[in-house]
Amino acid sequence: MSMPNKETFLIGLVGVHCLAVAFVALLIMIVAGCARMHMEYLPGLEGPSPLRAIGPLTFVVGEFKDPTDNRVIIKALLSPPALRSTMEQKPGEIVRTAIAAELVRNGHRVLPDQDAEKADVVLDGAVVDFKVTISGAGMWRQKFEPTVTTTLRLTSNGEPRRILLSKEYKGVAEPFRCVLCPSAWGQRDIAEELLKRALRSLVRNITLDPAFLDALKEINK
Amino acid sequence: MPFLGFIAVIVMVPLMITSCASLAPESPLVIPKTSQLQHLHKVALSASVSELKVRYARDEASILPAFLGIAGPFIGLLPYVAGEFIDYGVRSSQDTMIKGQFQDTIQGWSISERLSRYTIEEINKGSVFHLDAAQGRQPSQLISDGYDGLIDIALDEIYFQRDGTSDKLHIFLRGTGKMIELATGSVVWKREELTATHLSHSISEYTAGRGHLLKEEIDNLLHELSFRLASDLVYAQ
Repeated sequence: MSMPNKETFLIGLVGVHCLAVAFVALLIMIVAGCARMHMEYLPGLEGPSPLRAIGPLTFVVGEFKDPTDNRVIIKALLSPPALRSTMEQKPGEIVRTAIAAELVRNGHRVLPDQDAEKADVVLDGAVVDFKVTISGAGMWRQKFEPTVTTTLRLTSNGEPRRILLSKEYKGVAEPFRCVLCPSAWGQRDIAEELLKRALRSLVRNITLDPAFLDALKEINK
Repeated sequence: MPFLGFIAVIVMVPLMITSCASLAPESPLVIPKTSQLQHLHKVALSASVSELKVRYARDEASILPAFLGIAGPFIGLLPYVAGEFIDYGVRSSQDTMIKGQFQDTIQGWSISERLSRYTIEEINKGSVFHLDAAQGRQPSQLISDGYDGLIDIALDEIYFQRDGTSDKLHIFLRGTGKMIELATGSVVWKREELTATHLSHSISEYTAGRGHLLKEEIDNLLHELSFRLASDLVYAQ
């Protein structure tokens, strides 16, 4: 058996190195991609709000249904389950927690679900979208676009009990664009931050909506 | 040649793994306090608008770099980079053309005047202080005219952006409100707001009928932006 010459040996060496790099990259993507996101934070809503100008009301923030139960926020490589970033909490629960926190911050009381009869107002709804879409333009250019949309129903618990508002709200956050974009774990951080910004915008859109405020003022009369 | 392909993979994969591309931090918020606002009796407001931007063609998935990318490992790194540059250049010029179309449509329609008027209307609803427009007047001139504060409303960005992968566009307005106490020069309020259209439309829909829809959508967003910025001052504690 003849010994490989120097050129063949070098080609083989580079090939092995390439395979090793590709293998390590794939391994990192799998490990980082399937980690679970933690979204049990409250968005950093600060500053004055018209909600505070309305006399204190008691709320029950009921269920925000999530028909799709979509906790996957990043899909990678044709989306095999091992290469997805998922959230720890359901989107419906995240939206509900954020709305309740904003009500409490502005001097209102939020009662547990079982006390719904004692509340002045019941809020509930359904999450339409809670995701970050990554679209590519070119080989290394990508756009991360968050979409947070929910429907909201506001029910007055007085006599007669009636629905005063039923509307769809959307959270807006500026998309993120990158060239030579980060790998799975970097993408997850970006997606998480974009969702936080969109969620904060959603809560602000609800609490600054004149129709929402008018409905609360009517209950408070 | 195959070596160049290998080198491309060896160079690019670690770069993508270690890429530190991250989101720009948000502008810090300064919350107004009633105690600070009480000292301000006469306030001037000036509004400024930056240039319109379009990101439509550049956000569309392209074939050229992808094609060269597939070929890349066999023929080297250069075609990747060249493909990206050519593609980006062509698409940027397409976006510039669309921007020209939109600018022609809204020519003579003053966004800054509207932004100024709507914000004054919204803030005056709260009767916080006497407020009027002070377009182009210097702080020193305002002080000698008896003003205590200056509100600067800047529409930092007005841009059209592709809605996902569809052929329609959303309009985004990003604005910053800032109030300065003229005597001390201190910033007593600062907030950044972003508003966007609920529905996206095609270029032809925006420009049809002398841009009726385009003007209507921008006008609605200006109202929304003014209301959101003004609420901080109206409901300050």
